[in-house]
Amino acid sequence: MRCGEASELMSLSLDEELPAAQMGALKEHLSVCLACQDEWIDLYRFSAWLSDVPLMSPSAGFTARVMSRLAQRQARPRVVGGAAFLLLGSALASVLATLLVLPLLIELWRTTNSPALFAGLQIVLLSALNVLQLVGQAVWVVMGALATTWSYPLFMSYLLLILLLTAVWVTLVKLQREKSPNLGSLGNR
Amino acid sequence: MDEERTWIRAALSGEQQAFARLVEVYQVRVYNLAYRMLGNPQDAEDAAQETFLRAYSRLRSYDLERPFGSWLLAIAAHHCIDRLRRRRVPSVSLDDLPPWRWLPANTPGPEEVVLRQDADEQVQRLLSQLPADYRLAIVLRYWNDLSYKEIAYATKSTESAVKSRLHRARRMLMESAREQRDGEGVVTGRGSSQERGQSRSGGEARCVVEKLAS
Repeated sequence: MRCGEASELMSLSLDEELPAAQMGALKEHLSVCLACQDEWIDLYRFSAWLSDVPLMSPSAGFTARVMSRLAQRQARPRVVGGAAFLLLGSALASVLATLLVLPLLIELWRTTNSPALFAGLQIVLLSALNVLQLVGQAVWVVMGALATTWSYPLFMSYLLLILLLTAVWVTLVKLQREKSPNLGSLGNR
Repeated sequence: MDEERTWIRAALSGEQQAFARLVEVYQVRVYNLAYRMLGNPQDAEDAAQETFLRAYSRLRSYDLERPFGSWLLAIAAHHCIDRLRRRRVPSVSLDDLPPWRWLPANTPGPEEVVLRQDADEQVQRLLSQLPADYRLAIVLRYWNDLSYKEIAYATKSTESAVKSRLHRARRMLMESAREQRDGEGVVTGRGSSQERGQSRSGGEARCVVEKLAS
């Protein structure tokens, strides 16, 4: 066996990957070659020294830092997506508004000389004012009735029921969050 | 292993707490690899974090039949190699290395901590002499106990390439150490090859050969 070949086998032996058949040949070579014995001693000691050097550890809180970066990275596409959606929505809304309003403006411009247009607008405005007045009167009557008649407890019960349902909903949301904890629980890790 | 798979499945279904457990378990191995490859704590921290982020985003491509550690270290290894390529590391001259000396096998006394730090620096400086792929093979072999097959998987190479890299890396490390030792004229308790050959007794030679059988 040549020394170069023996050197390769030494490396395999250190890694416990040397087949038994070749182990005998290496031992035989080492028993007669002083240079390879030196090589083996150096390799063996160097390997042992290297194995003895401990693993380096990250500073405390590494997991929390990773999870924080993970949360940031996951949030980034949502923010970008939201902004893009908003921009696209605004653009579409503008186009739609233009398409809707433009024909109206054109029609209005064509009929500006017609006196009937102004008369029509006056009627519409007066009707709207009448409707608002009627609604205001209706609300006033209902509030007065609630404050003075037997339906007051019924109204209050209805309000309480709404509050109760809201509380139940908030509790359910909290429970759901506890089942899928967020990153806050990793803060001290 | 089963518990690990449970965490992986949970992480796949969106439970970040389960992924945090995986980070807890593997952070030291990943950080150590990054530190040994990149050579400083800041880069190692960043590379280790990035490794876990990439692992999370690629978790669906992970084969549950393979060891998770090897898969994770493969991601870390590729990321570190990429960083080294981008970095253009200035090569360190052998003259910059500290005097090399072999550490005793069992160092007693209060200097132990200092010697440990010394060993860390020495190993880091020696590793920095190696090409990145050789360094990676050494790190995966010595600090992660990966087999040739696992190293080949992690580095996307063949077992014979791994065998060759480890052999050459060891020779280069030994040469660096010897050149430094001889250049500095440090008394190491081990003389030149010729002196050692002349002074070794027959008993020591037999002992050395016997180590192979153990």
